[in-house]
Amino acid sequence: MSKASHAARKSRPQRISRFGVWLAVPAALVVSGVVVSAASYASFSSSTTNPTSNWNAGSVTLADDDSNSALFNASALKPGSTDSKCIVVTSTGNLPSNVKLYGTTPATTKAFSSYVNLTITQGTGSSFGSSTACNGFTPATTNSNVYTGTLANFGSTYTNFSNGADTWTPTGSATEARTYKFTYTVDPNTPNTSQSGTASLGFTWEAQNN
Amino acid sequence: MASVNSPVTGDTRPYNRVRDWVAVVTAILARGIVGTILGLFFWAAIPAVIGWVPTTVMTGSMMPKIVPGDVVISMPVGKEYLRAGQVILFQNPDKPSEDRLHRLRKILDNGELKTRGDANKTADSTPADPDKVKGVALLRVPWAGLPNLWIAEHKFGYLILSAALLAGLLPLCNIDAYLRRGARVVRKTSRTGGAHSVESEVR
Repeated sequence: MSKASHAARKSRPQRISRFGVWLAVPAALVVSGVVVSAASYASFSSSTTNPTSNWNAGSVTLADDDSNSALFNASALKPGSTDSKCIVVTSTGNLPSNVKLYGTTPATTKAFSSYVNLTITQGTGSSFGSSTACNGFTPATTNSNVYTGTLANFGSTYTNFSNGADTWTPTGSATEARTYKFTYTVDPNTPNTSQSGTASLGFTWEAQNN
Repeated sequence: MASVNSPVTGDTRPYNRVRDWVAVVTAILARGIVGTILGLFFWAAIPAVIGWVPTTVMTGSMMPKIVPGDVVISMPVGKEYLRAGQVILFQNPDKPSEDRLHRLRKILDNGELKTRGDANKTADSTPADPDKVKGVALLRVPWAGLPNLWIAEHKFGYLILSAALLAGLLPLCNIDAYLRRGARVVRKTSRTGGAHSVESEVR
């Protein structure tokens, strides 16, 4: 057997190697392209959503201690009526965040909400269930005043996160709680036209990581 | 044969069929992995050429379909083509320096867009301006945004580890080069033929 005939015959690994080196680039583009299209199909082909699960790798989570009952449910108010109530908001997320407070579904009859003055103060202590009004509440040393003004103004000024009232910025490194003291006073100068008027407003705290 | 060398490879090491197979399979696997990783970056970047917008997903608000570290590519569309159910990329109304990628739930009567992250319990409180929509999400490139995510989250350990693994794979990609190199020499010598071929192989 001559050397030349030996040389002409290539082993199978050799042939695969020569083939594989040219195939590498198109094969990689095709494989990665298939990965991309499969991932895109799975993500965007359906519009079903996953409403309840919270899968967040990092999260911002807020809870309050109101057990879903209203802060105030006051009736037979007259000019000068006042009351205070506290609610504790707890941040348990693990990302630093920004918490804002805004109103939802403001409603009033006879413009009554324009004659209810509202003061919101943040601090520590007390709880929603506190029997005497905000017993044990201590205002924060800085930025304790969140809002002073009418109920109507709060409801129209702060409607979502972007225009919400600034409250506090949890660091995300540990559970943090803030107490919010709400005080309402019915304006002594409430006109007779607002007699038997009503007002309601929901309060929402929203955290977004920053 | 008088030569102890592989008659076909021209390699100076003794002919070893198992070694050849291990080399060629290792090289193909390594090239496959490295090539697929580079391919993902390629697909993540190339749609930008035609004006589509790639974004790295930084949070889990669209889990489980879109996860942090994905690159999602959005195609700019006119606002008349927006439909509820689409995943849209838009300027975050709560933080204008950032974009938000959430699902469009409803087009409100005033034209604003109610959006929500699939994983979020509630809709975004601030509606989006339809003029601030940058596109409708069309492609998802898994993992391609991980380096960005790691840098943003200061997880430099992951970054260094992945770079080291990739760097370690690179030499393996060409570990079968001797098979091709040998063949080339053999082919050349086989054409010229004669007694020189063994010498040139050994050299």
